Amino acid sequence: MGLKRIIGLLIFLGLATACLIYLRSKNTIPPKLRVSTWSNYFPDSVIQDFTSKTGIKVELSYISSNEELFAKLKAGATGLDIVQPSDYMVRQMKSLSMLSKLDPTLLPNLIHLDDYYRHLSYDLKNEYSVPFTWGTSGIAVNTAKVQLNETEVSWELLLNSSYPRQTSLLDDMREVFSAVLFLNHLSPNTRDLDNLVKAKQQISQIKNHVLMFNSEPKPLLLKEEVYIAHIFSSDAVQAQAENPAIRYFIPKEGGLIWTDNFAIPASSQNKLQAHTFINYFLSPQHALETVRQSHLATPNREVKDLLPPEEKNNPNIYPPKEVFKKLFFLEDIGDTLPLMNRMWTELKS
Amino acid sequence: MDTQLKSSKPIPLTALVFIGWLFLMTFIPFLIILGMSFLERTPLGTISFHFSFNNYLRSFQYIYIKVLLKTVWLALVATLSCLAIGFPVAYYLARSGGWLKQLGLVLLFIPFWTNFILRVYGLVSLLGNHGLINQLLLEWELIKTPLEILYTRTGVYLGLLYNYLPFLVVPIFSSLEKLDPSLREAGFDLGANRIQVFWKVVVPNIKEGVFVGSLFVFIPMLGEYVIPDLLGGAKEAFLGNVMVSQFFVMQDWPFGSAIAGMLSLLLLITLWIQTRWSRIGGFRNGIDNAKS
Amino acid sequence: MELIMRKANPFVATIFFIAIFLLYTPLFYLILQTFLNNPYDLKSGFTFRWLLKLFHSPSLLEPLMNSLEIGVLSASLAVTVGTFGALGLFEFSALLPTMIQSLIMLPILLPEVITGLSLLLFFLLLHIELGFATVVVAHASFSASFVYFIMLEQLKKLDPQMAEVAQDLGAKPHQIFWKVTLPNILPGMMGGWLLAFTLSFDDFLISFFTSGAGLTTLPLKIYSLMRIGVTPELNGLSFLMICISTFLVLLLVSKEQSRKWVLRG
Repeated sequence: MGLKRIIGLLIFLGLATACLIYLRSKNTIPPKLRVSTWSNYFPDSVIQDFTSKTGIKVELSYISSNEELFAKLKAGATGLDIVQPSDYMVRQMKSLSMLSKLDPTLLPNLIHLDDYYRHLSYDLKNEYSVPFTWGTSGIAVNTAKVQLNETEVSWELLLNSSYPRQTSLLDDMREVFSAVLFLNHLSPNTRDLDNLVKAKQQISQIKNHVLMFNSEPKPLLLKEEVYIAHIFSSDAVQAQAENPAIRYFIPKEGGLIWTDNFAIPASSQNKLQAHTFINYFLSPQHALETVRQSHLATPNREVKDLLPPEEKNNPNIYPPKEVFKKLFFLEDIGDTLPLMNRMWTELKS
Repeated sequence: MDTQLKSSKPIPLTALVFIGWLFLMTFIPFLIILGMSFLERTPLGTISFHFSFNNYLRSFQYIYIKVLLKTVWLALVATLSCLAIGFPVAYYLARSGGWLKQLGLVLLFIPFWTNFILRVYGLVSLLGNHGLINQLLLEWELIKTPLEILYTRTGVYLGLLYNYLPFLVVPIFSSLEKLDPSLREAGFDLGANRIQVFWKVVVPNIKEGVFVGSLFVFIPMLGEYVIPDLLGGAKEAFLGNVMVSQFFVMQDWPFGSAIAGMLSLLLLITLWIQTRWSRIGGFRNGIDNAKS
Repeated sequence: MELIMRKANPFVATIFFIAIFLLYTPLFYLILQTFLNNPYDLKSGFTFRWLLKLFHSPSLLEPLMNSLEIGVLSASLAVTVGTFGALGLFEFSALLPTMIQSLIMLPILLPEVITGLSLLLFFLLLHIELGFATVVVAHASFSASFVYFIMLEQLKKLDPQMAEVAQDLGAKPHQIFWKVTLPNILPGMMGGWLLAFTLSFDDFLISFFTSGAGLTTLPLKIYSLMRIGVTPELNGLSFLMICISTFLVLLLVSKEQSRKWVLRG
């Protein structure tokens, strides 16, 4: 009887498939260290070096925003051993117990960190995070296409651009709000509702004129689809390396400074190896290679000394003291955050 | 198949496997997300298990209604554009003979078989300021500055059109195929000309197929996320974008679920309209017929 | 089937050809760009180096393998479940209560955002770790219904009398199964399998939600590459994938053709 045979065949097929799925899924827990990182951070050679020196295999995955990382961790992604949240995200994750406390005895290379970075407000004693790089947020300009007075760059250049269709904003709520708040000579961490509402109105006026919201405008700058980009310094310096006409500016009203940190999710199953990874990249020579290839700013004081002069003295990577005074970290704004969230949603609708 | 099959029990075990699967993998998750929409997010970011309508009240605020209407309008215009192009395409295919029909179908399906994301990437390449279209137009001096298509609403429309066209063509083509040719011949025999035969014989019979095809295109468009994100420059949020951003950026899962609830309601309304319309039109269960 | 080519309305024909042309332009452009020295400059000259770079790029191989494996497994699962459904329900497919009909249509009608997010919540609630298995199951969950409809059509077309005739002619049950029943439903099953595979391989949004942190599928990888703007490798990949899909479609069509010729003969 044909029917029974077909059913039998199907049951066989189904069971075989189920077995294969089960076996295959078990197979994807290899002894690898899973690192979630930002794009263009770790050159391949550096990772390969790590593996050959420690025997630990590394699997990189990429995220493009802190919120994406947060959502992935919150959604129970238990497969991550190292994450790289920025400063404010460390604060957020810490408060929700999403991070694992670091064991300082496994991190002897901590002493190489510049003092400034060992006492940052979001994690006073590096209990949960270790700064790996830091940077600023500002404006990248393709000076071959845009004429400007380089000593007097203001946030006006971005927010009142003469080339609106070749302008892009960061797809990041707090960054965009901060830019406007700086322009209005206010603190980026203001909780004053009136200030925020005014900022929101200003943003809504320009958002329809700009080309797009994009947190990684480097390819667009290089393709010359964008001439003026709201950008992270790390991205800008990398773009400049490929096209020297692209210059980076921290506007005179001030800008944000951020750190990207190593942290270990509470759910990691590989904490020991994760500590090895962090310690490895705290050592001056290994940090050097990474930082030099990707043009990132290092919080490691010995590494900075070892850098070639073009790197060390590059004001885009290491802003001079006068500029440093105008840099602010993003702080916790408490109850104002959900309100800002709603404003951002309205802006994007 | 042997005839003894017909006397088997009312709900065969095999059917239960399928229905059970659907229930577990589709229905229950759907209930879960609806359930989540009645909970609330605490300021700390966790979920409070108190039943509340607040999310839905919030979703009726002007900005979200604006997004809803914008999305419906987008989907409507895109669907109609697909119809405008898709119908002639289906018609031409159905009326071709033999190898040309095969060729036409193959041609239509090859792009469909490349990856969706790849096709979007192709559009991004094509429509950008340095893409093919702008390059050629500038070369031939038809324009002085590049046309802005990418990262605008137009880009989104083109993306939707490009992506959903085959989905519309297939049901229409299907019902055209099923059309009994003798009906047309009878029409001609009775003295009608081509136009009359088209409107009075062909159209009424394929109305279902057109409807169902449009539905299969309209409904997914309401929930589109990727195309407005990649081709629209992330500037305009439609329902799908708002939903995802509530989950992944704002971390307000209950509210995101409420948006999902709104979208589902929209769906139900659309389906209800379709069934009413088809009953008025006097044909049988519309979906059943054009299923193939 | 009509072998005489009817004279088609020229207006309709024009639209058809324009549509096909437009459908292929992005793809042709991608292929063209693969061989251009500078993908954004039409005059920059011919080169193979992007293709070569592609073959030396290990980071694209793993997502591709993942997508293939996920596709095969979820298609098999979908075919199993969907065919079970078709077998059990094809007699009363028109008489099914609306509730059941809606349930079957639900995966097809529900927008992907909702399916993806709801499955994410579902897995989370059950503390199931997001990864390979969840993606396979998620894909199968929406493609099963498609397979169901395909198999339904297949079974309806099946002539129940063929088995009887074979029996009357003295064929034993296992002969009937292998030589009559199976060959008739197998094409449908394969068609359904291929469709489920395509849906899975192509899928972006649902994989995005259900893949968790460690797993990358090809569409997800392409998406992240698009965002960091690694253009040339993508073009090489596009070229490859267009070739593969053309090959697959031609394969499918030629199988159809030969089957029809066999039946006629």
